[in-house]
Amino acid sequence: MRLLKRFLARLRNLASRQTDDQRLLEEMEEHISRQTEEHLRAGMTPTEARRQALLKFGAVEAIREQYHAEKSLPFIESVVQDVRYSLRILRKTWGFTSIATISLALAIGANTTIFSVMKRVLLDRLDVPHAEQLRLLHWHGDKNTAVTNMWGMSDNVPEGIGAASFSYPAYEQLRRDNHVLEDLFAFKDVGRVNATIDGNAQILQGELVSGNYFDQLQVQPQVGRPILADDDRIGAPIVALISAELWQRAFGSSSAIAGRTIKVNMVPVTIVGVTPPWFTGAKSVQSSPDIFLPMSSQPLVAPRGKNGSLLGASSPEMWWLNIMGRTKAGVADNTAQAALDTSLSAVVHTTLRVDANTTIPRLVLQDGSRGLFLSKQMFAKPLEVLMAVGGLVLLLACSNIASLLFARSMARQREVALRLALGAGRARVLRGVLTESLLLSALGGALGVALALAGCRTLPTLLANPCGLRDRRDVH
Amino acid sequence: MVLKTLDVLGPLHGYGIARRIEQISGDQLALNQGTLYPLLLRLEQEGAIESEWGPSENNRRARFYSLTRAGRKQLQAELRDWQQTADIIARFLAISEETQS
Repeated sequence: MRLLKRFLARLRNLASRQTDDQRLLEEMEEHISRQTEEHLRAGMTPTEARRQALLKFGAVEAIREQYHAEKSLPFIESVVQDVRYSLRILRKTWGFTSIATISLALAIGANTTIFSVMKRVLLDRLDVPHAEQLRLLHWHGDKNTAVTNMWGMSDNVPEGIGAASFSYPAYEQLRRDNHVLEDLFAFKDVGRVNATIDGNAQILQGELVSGNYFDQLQVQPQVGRPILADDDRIGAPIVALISAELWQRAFGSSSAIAGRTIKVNMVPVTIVGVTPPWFTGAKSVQSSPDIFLPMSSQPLVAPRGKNGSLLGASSPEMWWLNIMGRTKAGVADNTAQAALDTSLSAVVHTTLRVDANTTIPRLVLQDGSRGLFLSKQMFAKPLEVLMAVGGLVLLLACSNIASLLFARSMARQREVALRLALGAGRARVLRGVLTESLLLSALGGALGVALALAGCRTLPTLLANPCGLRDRRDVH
Repeated sequence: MVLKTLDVLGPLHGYGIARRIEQISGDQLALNQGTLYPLLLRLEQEGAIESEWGPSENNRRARFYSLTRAGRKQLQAELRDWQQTADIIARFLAISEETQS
């Protein structure tokens, strides 16, 4: 308590830069004159009396210094001094300063940029409650796999081929059989759809979602209502949710959005709500679809296949849906995977032609917290290479600056010798140099962050669109 | 010592405190009197004493220091501590004298 009180008092003195030596000087003067008077009374000569009094008092300068040290915080004061001195030196040798700062800034900027892109592309999770619970259904098969017709990305796995696409009948049956995950929901990025908003044609990114999609993702629209199970049945009036970005772009964030009708691929669709600004859909972390439509609208808004419909029993051959589910408390991943695998092979046997040569795909449960995570396949390698290069650049910059500093300290030996001779402590001199280096790196760091901010805006145009920037697809 | 002096004599200026300490100690403590001032400042910052300008006996301006309530408490605590320490040392010394005799 006492220490704190004292510290605060000293801090106050430091902040107000109070140097009232006046009080001390006056007090000391008073003290000495009284002592002198006393000595005079004792019978000394005036000169002798004053001399004795001064002797008794001690070294005035030393006491002043001590007094000052008690009064304020000498450590902070000397740091301030060091900083000011270093700034002066850095200004004086501005050539050196700018070269060092720029090389540092470039290295730091490059690294920060690459890392923030990497974070956005490879590390960030979907912005939904408890994204870590999400599991993506995936299957692996070899070249004789029963699945022959696919709409969507496939990737190479040791067995041959893997994909996260399922047929609609497979989804229905998996969902019905499922007791190891929470309710399974399905979604599909259908790519571009032609929309007419207020008579203006627009190209939008569309996503078909099952009726339980928003419920299972635990996402509430910021305006209106989500797509419900009742909207996802054949024959229901087609409703849609739009993204916050489209809401702003095409409707000026008008509050009277719910109930507006637009046309998607010439089909009238009623907007019932707007998703929150941070929501990017279940497919990817980087960008959100513009419009979410119920799965049941697929034959109308995104016709595909023989007779346009991929729903129902009409087209079990086409595998196109992405399926996700949340983990159920108390069910381990491999248990869930085994159970789902059993129902998948049942589905394949009942819906696809299976003969002696065909193999049944094996179901694999994957982490779904980053959506389909296509960015990993596309950007993991290039980003790792970039990161390594960035690290090397940083190393280079460091050694560069180290040699620059070394050269300069050689040149400044005389100055240091002079300061030592004048009575500066070694620690103090060292601290000065350290302060200078720290200032230099702070300058470089600040400039580097500024560069990184700029970099985050440019790199995405070369490499997808991370750093929190949604890509713009305005069509005029 | 400063606190005790102020406790006994009431508000006092720096010179007075120095003289008093000298007198009490019987001139055995030959410190530089000047070192008193940083100490006074420190005590003031800790809140144990407070100070104000006032006229001295010979009508000059002098800074008078007086004990605050916190200072009085601190004095009491320190006296207690000292008493304890002194007692313990005294007991030890008594034992060594007994064994010698």
